Amino acid sequence: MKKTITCTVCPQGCEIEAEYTCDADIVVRGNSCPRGERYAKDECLAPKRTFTSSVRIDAPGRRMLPVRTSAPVAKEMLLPCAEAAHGIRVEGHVHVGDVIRKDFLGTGTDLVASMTL
Amino acid sequence: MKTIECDVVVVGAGPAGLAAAEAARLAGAERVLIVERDTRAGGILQQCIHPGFGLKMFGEELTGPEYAGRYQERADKAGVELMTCTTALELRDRELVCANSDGILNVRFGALVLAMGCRERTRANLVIPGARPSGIYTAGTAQKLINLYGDKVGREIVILGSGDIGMIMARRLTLEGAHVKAVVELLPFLAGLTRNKVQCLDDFGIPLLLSHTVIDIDGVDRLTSVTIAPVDEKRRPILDKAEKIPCDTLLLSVGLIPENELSRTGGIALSPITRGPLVNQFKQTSNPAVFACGNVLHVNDLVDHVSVESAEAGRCAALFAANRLPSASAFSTVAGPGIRYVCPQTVVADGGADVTLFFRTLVPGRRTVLRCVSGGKELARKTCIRTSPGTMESLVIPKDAVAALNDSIEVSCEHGEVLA
Repeated sequence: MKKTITCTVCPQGCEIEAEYTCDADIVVRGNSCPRGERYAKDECLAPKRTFTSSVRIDAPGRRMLPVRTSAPVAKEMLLPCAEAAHGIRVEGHVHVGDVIRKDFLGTGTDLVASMTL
Repeated sequence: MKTIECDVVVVGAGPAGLAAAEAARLAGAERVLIVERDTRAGGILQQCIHPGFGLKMFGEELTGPEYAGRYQERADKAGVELMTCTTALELRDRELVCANSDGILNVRFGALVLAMGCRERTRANLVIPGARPSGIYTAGTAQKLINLYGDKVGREIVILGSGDIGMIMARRLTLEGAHVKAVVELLPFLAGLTRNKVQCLDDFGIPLLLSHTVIDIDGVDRLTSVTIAPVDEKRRPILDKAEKIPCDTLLLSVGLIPENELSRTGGIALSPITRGPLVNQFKQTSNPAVFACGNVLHVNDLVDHVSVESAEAGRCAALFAANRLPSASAFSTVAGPGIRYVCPQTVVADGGADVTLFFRTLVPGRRTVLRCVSGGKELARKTCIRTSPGTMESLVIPKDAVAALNDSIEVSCEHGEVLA
């Protein structure tokens, strides 16, 4: 299989050609750094993105708490994560990094606060 | 009327103001005060809940609130005073007139740093014809409503402009259950960063229509449709190819304007291109006691650059307040072939430090050679795999070359291949 991937590791945006037959054997061309190679391989096998949203909070002068996953999740989990975030309500004082949901939707990453409120 | 005195006063507690204030304290300024009109520090980063900040500065991917939070902590630790809910009204000679719930406050300063940021261009700036229903927002306003207030802005969305905030909102709205029908861009190339096109549009199959624009808006109370059309090479709409798109919401992501009303009250000279103050490498404006940094100076694409530039502004403001900022002859920087603008607009021939020139190219290209020449001598050069007007570029002039300056400096760009 052949795939053209626009690298997003840095603003250069290299167009990387990836060719592969099986998981273990991916040939990558057009990247200008090793991070680009890693990115292209990940994009072929299991593309991942950091999920971010904001959830309801009961805090003085503030209605929403920004949240993120502690690590990138599988790309196809973004929409289910967004759906699940709608139902979350947080109470009381929150510190940046506090875990809001452990192992969020079984992704193996936690949903954490990205602001102190 | 209350009067307070400080060494350095900073207007705005966004990322630029926080970095400038911290650096001013670290450079020895005794009393450093930030005045901020919002209820807390962080500026626009508070509503930028998406990741992608801090890759250069911290080597990790942070969200906007996390990035702002780190700088707020650093400013606190450095002993910066923060006065929120306070608006700066007028800039006078060594005096800033502010207002808050206590009344009028005069802040006397040794040096002042302008860090007010920018605001979005609106429908009125573009003069889009048609009806005036509800449902038309700037992308940043929609971002604030959704991310900070938890409101819904609409279900069927068209976005005009491929700026970064517009693309980020395309993803955010999709995740919130809305249907983004298209991102429409007047220019033949993307306005924002490539990584935002990949992660915000391509990931969700949102079409990007280049060389297209909105030519009509319909709806009585609420927006019901927009009419889009392709444009020719002179950016004139081709009317017989116009197409009506039913939608209830139009977002505009069509550029940012540095917010310099306060600078104007102080008579600060502004650039007609960047719409920010004219500065030297110390970020010093036409009033030597006034410095400027961040998006009020020129609109940046990465906050990491803002932090570096602003720390330099804050450091130099502190030196000026202590009568320690060097002065020497200044030479202009010139936007040569292929370059839209260069910031700073002048360079003082002081060899204390290397000088970084920030600039934008006019069109996207591959294998681009960027050069900076003064008096027939090349001072800096680099070759980039790819450049785009949406990505700010820079060249560093070594300090020895800065000390030896005796002519203006021209920055130019030559593409191996033009991508427009």
